[in-house]
Order: sequence, then C-alpha cells, then structure tokens
Amino acid sequence: MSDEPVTTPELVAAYRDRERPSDAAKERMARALMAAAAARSATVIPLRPAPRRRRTTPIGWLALAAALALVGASSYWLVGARHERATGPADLLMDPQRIDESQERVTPRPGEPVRAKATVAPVQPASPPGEAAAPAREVPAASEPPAADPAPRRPARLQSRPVAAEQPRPVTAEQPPVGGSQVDPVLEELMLIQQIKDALDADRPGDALTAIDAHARKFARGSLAEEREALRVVALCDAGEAGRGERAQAVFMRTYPRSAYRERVRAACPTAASTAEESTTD
Amino acid sequence: MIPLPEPPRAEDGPSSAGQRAPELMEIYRTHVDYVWRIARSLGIPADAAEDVTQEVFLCVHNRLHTFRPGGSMRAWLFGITRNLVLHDKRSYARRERHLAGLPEPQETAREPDATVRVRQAAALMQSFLDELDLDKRLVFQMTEIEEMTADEIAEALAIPLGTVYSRLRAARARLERFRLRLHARGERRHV
Repeated sequence: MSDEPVTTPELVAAYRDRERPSDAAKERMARALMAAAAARSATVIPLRPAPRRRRTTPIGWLALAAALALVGASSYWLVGARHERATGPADLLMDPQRIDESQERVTPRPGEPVRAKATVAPVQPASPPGEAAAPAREVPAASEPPAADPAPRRPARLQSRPVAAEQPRPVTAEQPPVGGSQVDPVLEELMLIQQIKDALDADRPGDALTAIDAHARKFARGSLAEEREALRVVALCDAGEAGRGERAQAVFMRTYPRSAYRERVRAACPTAASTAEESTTD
Repeated sequence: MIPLPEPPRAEDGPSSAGQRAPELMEIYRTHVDYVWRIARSLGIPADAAEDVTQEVFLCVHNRLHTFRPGGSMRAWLFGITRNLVLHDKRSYARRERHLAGLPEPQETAREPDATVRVRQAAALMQSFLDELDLDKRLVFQMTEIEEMTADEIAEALAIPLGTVYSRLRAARARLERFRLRLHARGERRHV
C-alpha cells in the first residue's frame, strides 16, 4: 500500500472493480442461463398460477356440521333405545318380583272378582283368534283386537310407517307425549310397551288393556307384537277375565310356541296352561 | 421469453427504459456483479459465489412472471439472493470449514503498481465491511457501492426509510474512523 491516504471513492471503486466475477465466470454463467432458457422454452409453462378457490371452505364446514348433527341424532336414538330396552317388555316379563307375585297369588285381590280354579271356564285351544275378540266387560267390543297377532315376527321392518293423522287413542293421563309424527316408530312402540308395564306394575290391568289395544291398533305387525300379546294374557288374567285370558293364552301358545315368554304366560293363567299345553302337543 | 406486464423502472437497467420488457440475459448482464457482491456480503465464499449467482439467475428465469410491475428489480434480486443464501449457507459453511485447512495460494506473477494499489484498496474496503454488522453493511454497500436509492434499500430490506438513513450514518461514521486509523498507521510508519 502506498503512503498516500486513500479516499472513500477510491476504496469504493477498488472494491467494485475487484469484487466481481471474472469474465470467464460471467461467460460460463451466461451459457448456462441460455441453455436453461432454451430447455424451458420447449415446455409448456402456465403464465399465471391458477387462483385458489376458497369456496370449498364453507362447503367443508357445512359438511362437517351435517355430519356432527347426524352423529348426534343417531347417538341420541341409540341411547334412548338402549334405555328403553333395558326396561322393556323382556325385563317386564322376566322380572322375578313380578313372577313371584303372580305365582304366589292364590287369593283374589281386594275389589276384584274371585278367580278360583274351580270357576275357570274350560279351555278352547282350537278357537280361532276371532273368538278372542268376544265382548268383554271393561273393553268395548269395537276396540277389541285379535288376541294374538298371527303375523310373523320378522316383517316388522317392512311395516309401513304409522299415519300421524290417526284417530286419537284412548290413552291415560300418564301417557308420555309420543303421538308426534316426528317420533321414531320403534321408540314409540317401546314407549307404549312401557306404558303397559307401568300399568301392570301399578295394578291397573284395565289401563294396561287399553294401552295394549292402542298398541295393537297402531302397530298391528309391530316388532313387539309378541311382547304385547304376552302382556295381554297377563293383563286379562290380572283383570279377572279368566275366560278371555285363557283363550288369549291358548292363542299365544299356538302362535309363539318357542317364545321366551312362554313360562311367564303360562304362569299368568296357570289353570288353563296345562290344557293349552296338551292341546298344542296333541 | 416470458414478457413482463410492465417494464421495471428506468434505474433498474438500460433495457427497462424502453417499451419492451427486459429479457433474462439483459437482467443478467446488468445485475450479475450486484448479485455476486450481495452473495459475498451475505457470507458466501468467493469460490462458491459463482454457483450462487448462477442459481439466482436460474431462479429469476423461472419466476420472472412473478416480478411485481413497478417494483425495484434490484430489491427483487436481493430477496432471491438472500433466500438462496440462507437455504444453502449451511452447506457452504461446511465446505468452507473443510477448505480452511488448506494453504492460501501465493501470487507469483508480478503486478503493476496501479494494480497493486487497487487490490490493496479493495482489501481495505473488504476489511472495513467485515467490521460492520450485517445490517449496516448491507445498507452501506447498497448505498455507496451499488448506488441504490434509499427507497430501493428500504424495499429490499423491508425496513423503514428512517432506519436506512440511520444505519447509513452509523456506517459512514465507522468508515471515517477506519480511514483515520489507516492514516495514523501511515504516520507512525513514517516516524
């Protein structure tokens, strides 16, 4: 370095002159760029990138909301149905307390007509279901359905949905609001069975028979028809209608020979059970 | 060649003053030294600066359609160079560590006095720039060496205009002290 002081422009000029690529390096880079440009010109390149559509976002949110609503509704139904099944007709019929009560009851209840073995009418096992609809003391003949539904158990799923504008059912004040057209049919059927059970538990066989008739009108081929007819036998026997109870019992035994409620139905009207058993085995 | 919607500003290059858009080779010939020095200032060693510069212009070639009309070409080039350097800096630093153990090449050819003086002056400027932190160094280099305007520097570095001026004042003050130090060293050598 010379002894003369260096000025700022001189430093800048010297730096600019020295700090740059060599001519050979510039030539190499230029050749590489031209080759790249030539290779690129042979390909199709979009001049502008396609704009992103953000309309999918609200659609995605709507789909998510619909899925959540569907999951919530199905889970509510499942929980409700499970609860109803837990206290449904199967539990009702297999309730040990109820069984003990019906089996140990040898004396008539206060206020009810005497129902002794000696006074039980002879069983008519071969009677058709239409005979079970004989006029009764408590239930009018017009509302008496067949004692047992001869329809098979499986076609319940093929059953058409009940009409909402049906005639009002003779329900009691304890009946929950299940008549809405938006209630699920299976759930409504379960709730009707629950009403029958509640009425039998409260020792009100008349109300139970009314609810059974309501269920038979609305769900003649329902999935719980077997349970309903079993409860009908129990209700008739509890109400003291021994003749109708025995006929209903015989029809049930004939229609559902392998029913899980067979013993429960036999215990409801023990007098006629043996006769019905003999008739079915013969 | 991909055309630009509007040509860059007149100070970005000789071709931008016309009606037609600048082509890749025009941009390259105008700004190759600038890109080289920016890469060097960002820490790229001299033997790797050529690779980085070539990579920058290949990126320009691919992304020329994204250049904002009316923007500063040199600010845009600075952004590309900085991103590439930050991306490749680790590999360059690793290679620099491997080469650090090798001996420095000795200059055998005899140079004229003028060339020696220019080389020594460039070395002095390099040593001064190395004393600065990167923020002040970039502002000083863009202002004094690349002769960019304050607006261009603010756009390239994404900083306010007042910050550009304050960093430039600080760098110039450091340069004045550097020159005084050189002068004092020469005086002691005479004594």
